[in-house]
Amino acid sequence: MKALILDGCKKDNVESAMIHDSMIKELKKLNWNINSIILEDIELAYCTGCFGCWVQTPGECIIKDYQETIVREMVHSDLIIYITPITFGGYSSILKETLDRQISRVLPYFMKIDGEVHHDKRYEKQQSLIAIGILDKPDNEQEEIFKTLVARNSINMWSSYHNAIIFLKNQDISYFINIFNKSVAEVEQLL
Amino acid sequence: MSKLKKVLLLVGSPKTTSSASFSIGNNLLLKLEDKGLSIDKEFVYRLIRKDDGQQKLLKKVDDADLIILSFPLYVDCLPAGVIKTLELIRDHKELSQDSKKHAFAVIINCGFPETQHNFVAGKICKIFSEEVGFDWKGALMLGMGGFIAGRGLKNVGRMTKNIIHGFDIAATALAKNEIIPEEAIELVGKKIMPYTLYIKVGNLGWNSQAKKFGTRKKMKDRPYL
Repeated sequence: MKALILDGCKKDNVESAMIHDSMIKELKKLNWNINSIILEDIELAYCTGCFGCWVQTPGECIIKDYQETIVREMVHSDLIIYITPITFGGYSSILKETLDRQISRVLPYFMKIDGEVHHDKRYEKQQSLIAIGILDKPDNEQEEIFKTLVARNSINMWSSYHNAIIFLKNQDISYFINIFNKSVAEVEQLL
Repeated sequence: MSKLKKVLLLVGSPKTTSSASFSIGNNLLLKLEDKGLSIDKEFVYRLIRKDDGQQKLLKKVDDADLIILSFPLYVDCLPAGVIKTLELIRDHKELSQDSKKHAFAVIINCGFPETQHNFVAGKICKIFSEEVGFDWKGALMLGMGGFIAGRGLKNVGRMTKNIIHGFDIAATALAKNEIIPEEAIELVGKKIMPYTLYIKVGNLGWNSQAKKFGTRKKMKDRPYL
């Protein structure tokens, strides 16, 4: 079982570091093979919207940087985990840089899923998605937007499972670990 | 309500002048110019990577009475460079003593035929607006952006008459510092062709682009297996 953690927080984010370490510990206990990437450490180009990854070099971004490794890791993972400060209800720009450049994982061709148009899948293997959003204080509106965004991503990127977990600053980490472990158990049932 | 004088269009597409975001945003911008507002525009992807670019961007934001952000939908929400722009504005406003209440509106286009794909991005922009103390004027959202990109809104012909009419209504309201009327939002969000036709034309379009690169038979390749 292979997990990829994409941490889109700034390095001075205390909660992110705590979440990160706890998740690695829990996943190791369950014998997961983990690759963790602190995205702030990596210089990634922005997606240029050229669609080269669909028509010029199908399945591969034409910009050659560390994103190639990230997409390769995504394709071979069973579980992808995002960590992000909830930013206006959505992802941080640091996390979004890599997410924008993952579209080579799907095909350009349109197809309908539950009556709505999306892109067809490129790979047979599907990944589960757990997204952890960090908030300073409870905010129902932002939490709802975040959960909807993760659900929308899971449709468009063909996730076999998705869950959005909200982590509030000063929240007891053991509470988070319980929720996280439950989610991982659900992922494992699909494997 | 105070009268608006200066309007700034921020284009949030990395494709800059060849983007649907620019074509659409500029259409609304020119309508506001016709109504007597002074106009300016910037392309955020040209500014955000470097300090001097960021400073230029923030100064333009400070100077504007109305800011219109026009961007494409990337993976269900704002492109990374647009989120970065909003983060920069938020950080700047937190440190600034400026209490000016900028009017703020957004235009979001997506390559899917249905407008509803943009709804999450619209909500994110509204939260941003509230968080930095801007005066939220609303979101104009449309699908089938892929059909407008490269052609330009004006060159698509009668199919975009609803969008153009919606922009007329939105411009009249924005020039008076009013919220974008629901009628404008509905008109802009109307489909410009049947969904089935858009899907067919879109899929043929991908094949035709691939043909130019000699990759037509490689379109479904799985390079990372």
